[in-house]
Amino acid sequence: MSIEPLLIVLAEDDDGHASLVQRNLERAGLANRLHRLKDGQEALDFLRGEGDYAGRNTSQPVLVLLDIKMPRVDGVEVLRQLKADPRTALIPVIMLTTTDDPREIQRCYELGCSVYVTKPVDYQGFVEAIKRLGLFLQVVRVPENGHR
Amino acid sequence: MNTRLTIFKKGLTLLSVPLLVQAVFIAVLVKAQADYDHAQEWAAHTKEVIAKIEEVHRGLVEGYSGIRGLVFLDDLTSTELHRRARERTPERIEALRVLVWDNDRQQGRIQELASRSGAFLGWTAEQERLVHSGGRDRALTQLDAGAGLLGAARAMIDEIRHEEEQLDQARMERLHQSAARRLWTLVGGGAAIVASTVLLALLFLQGIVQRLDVLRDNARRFSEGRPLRSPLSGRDEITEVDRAFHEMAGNLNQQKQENEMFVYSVSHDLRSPLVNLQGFSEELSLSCRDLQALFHRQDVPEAVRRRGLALLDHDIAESIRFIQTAVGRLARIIDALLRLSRAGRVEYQWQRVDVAAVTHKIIEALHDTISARKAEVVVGELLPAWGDPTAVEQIFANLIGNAVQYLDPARPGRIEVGTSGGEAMVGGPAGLRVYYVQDNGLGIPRAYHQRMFTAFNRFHAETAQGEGIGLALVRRMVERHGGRIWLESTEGVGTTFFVALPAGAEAETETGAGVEPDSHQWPAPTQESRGGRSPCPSSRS
Repeated sequence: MSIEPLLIVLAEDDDGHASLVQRNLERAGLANRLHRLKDGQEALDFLRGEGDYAGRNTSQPVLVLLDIKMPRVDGVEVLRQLKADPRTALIPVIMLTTTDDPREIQRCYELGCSVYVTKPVDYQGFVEAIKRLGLFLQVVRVPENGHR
Repeated sequence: MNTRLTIFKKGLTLLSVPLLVQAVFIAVLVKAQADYDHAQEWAAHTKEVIAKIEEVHRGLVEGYSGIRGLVFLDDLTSTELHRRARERTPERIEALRVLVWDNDRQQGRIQELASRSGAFLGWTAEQERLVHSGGRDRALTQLDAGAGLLGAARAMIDEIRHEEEQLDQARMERLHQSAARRLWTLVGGGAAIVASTVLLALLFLQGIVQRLDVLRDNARRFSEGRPLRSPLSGRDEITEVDRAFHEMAGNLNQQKQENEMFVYSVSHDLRSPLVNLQGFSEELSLSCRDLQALFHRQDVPEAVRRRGLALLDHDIAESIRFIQTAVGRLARIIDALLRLSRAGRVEYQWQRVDVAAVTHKIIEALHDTISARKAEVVVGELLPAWGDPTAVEQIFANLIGNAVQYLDPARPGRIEVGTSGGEAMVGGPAGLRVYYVQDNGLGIPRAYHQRMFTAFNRFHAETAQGEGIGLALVRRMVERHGGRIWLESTEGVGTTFFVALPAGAEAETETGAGVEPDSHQWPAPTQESRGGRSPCPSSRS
C-alpha cells in the first residue's frame, strides 16, 4: 500500500463553475490533480470503478466536490449512495451548491457530508476547507480495492 | 328538512301554504255565509206565513163584525166588510197553502181552515140575504151560530199560528247560530293565515339568514386573510355559493403556492449564472492584476505600457466595477426573492411563543444600534402568542428594527412595544391578540401606507439598505398565522405597526386543531391607514 497524491473529484455540470473551482484550487497551490465529472451518475461510476470507469484503481485517496443540481443523478443522491456503500462511505464529500435552503443543508449533513459550501463562493474559506480535508486524508486510511 | 329545500322551493312554499290556507278559509267563509243566508230566508218565510195567517184571521173577524153591524144597526157601510171577507179569504188561504206547501201537517190544517172558514163565510152570505129579505129578527137569533163558526175557524188559525211560531223560534235560533259560526270562521281563519305565514317565514328565514351569515362571515374572513369556516351542509343555493367560494379560495391559495414555487425555482435557477458572473468578474480583476505586473516589466515599450495601464486602470477597471455592482445588486434581489418564497413555504412549528422573551432578545441584539441612536425602548406587557417561534421572532425583529432605523435624528427616539387592548380589538378578528410597535420617528406619508407591505417597494433607495422586502415578509408570516397587520402613522410624529396574532390556548381551535391557518390564505388588505402623511423611509426592510 503506497500513499498516492490526493485526487480531487469535481462533479459539476456547469462548465463555468467547474473552471472557477479549478482556477481557485490552482491559485491556492493545491497542485493535486482535479478530475472533472459532468454529472452524478458519472461521479458514482468513477468512484466505484464501474461503467465507463471499470477497472479504474479506486485505492487512490479522493476528495469529492459535489454540486447538488445536476442532470441524471443529483448531488444529494450521489452523497446518499456514497455514504450507504461501505466501499465509499469514508470518502470526504464537500457539497458545493447555490442552495442555501436550511432544510437542504440539514439534509446533506444528516447524510454525512463533511462540509457544505454555498455558491457564490467565499473562495478563501472554500480553499481552506479543501486543504484541511486533504491533510486529514493524508493520515486516514482509505478503503482499498480488496474490501470490495 | 330546511336544508334540503332550495331557496326557490322555500319561497314557493312560503307563498303557497298561506295561499292554500286562505283558499280554505274563503271556502269555509262562503259556506258559513250561505248557511246564514239560508237561515235568514227561512226565518223571513215563517214571519210571512204568520203575517198571512193574521190576515186571514183579521178578514174573518171583520166579516163577522160586518154582519153584526148589518144585523143590529142596518149599517150598510158594514156590508163592505163581510163582502170583502167572502171575496178575499179563499185566495188568502190559497196563498197560505202555497207558502207552507212543504209542511204536510200545516197543509192538513189549512185544508180544515178552508172548510171551516168556508162554513163561516156561507153563514155571512145567508145572514145578508135574511136581512135584505126582511128577516132581521131571524138573523138576530142566528148570530150566536155565526160566532160558533168563527170560533171553530179561529181555533184552526191558532193551531196553524202556534206551529209556525214554534218553527219561527227554531229558525231564529238557527239564524243566531250560523251568525256566530260565521264570526268564528272569520276570526279563526284570519288567525290561521297569519299564524301559518309567520311560522313558515320564521322557520325558513332562520335557515336562510343563518346560512347567509356564514357566507358573509366567510367573505369577511377571506378579505382579512383568515381561515374560512368549514363548508355548509345541505343542497340549496347558499350551499352552492359557499362551495364555490371555498373552491375559489382554494384555487387562489393554490395559485399563491404555485407562484411562490415558481419564484423559488426561477430565482434559484438565476443563481447559477450569477455565480459565473461573480466568479469570472473576480477572475477578470485577478487577470488585470497579472497584466498590470506584466506591463511594469522593463522590456515593455513605454508607449505600450502607458496605453495598456490606462486601459486597465480606467476602462477595464470601470467595466468590472459596474459589472460587480450590478451582480451584487442582482444577488441581493435574488436572495430577497428566495427569502420571500421561503417565508410562504417553510413548515411552521406551532407552539406557544413567549413574545416578551423574543422581544427582549431582539432588543439585546439591537443594543448597539439603539444606544448609538440614543433611543429609549419601552416594553409593556407582552402576552404569549400561538405560532411559529422563528416566524414570530422575525416579525418582531423586522418591526423593531424598522422603528430603530427610521427614528427622527432631530429628537430623542422612543420606541414602545406592547399588547394592545380594548379599542384596537374592537371589530378585530376573534381569537387574535393585537401587539403594537410604536415609534416617534419620521412617520410614513398616508399615500404610502397601502404600499408599505409590498415587496421591492423602495422609494428612498439611496438611504435604505436591503431590497425592501422586510414588511412583505412580515405580512406573509402574519398571514400564515391567520393574523393581520396594519399601521397608523402621522408624518413627523411617528408610526405604529399593529400585528394581530393567534392568542394561544383560546385560539387553538383555529390553529392548533390540525388546521394550519395557512391553508386558506390569500392576499388580504392588511393595511388600514388612519394616520397623516409624511416622507416615507424608503424601504422598511
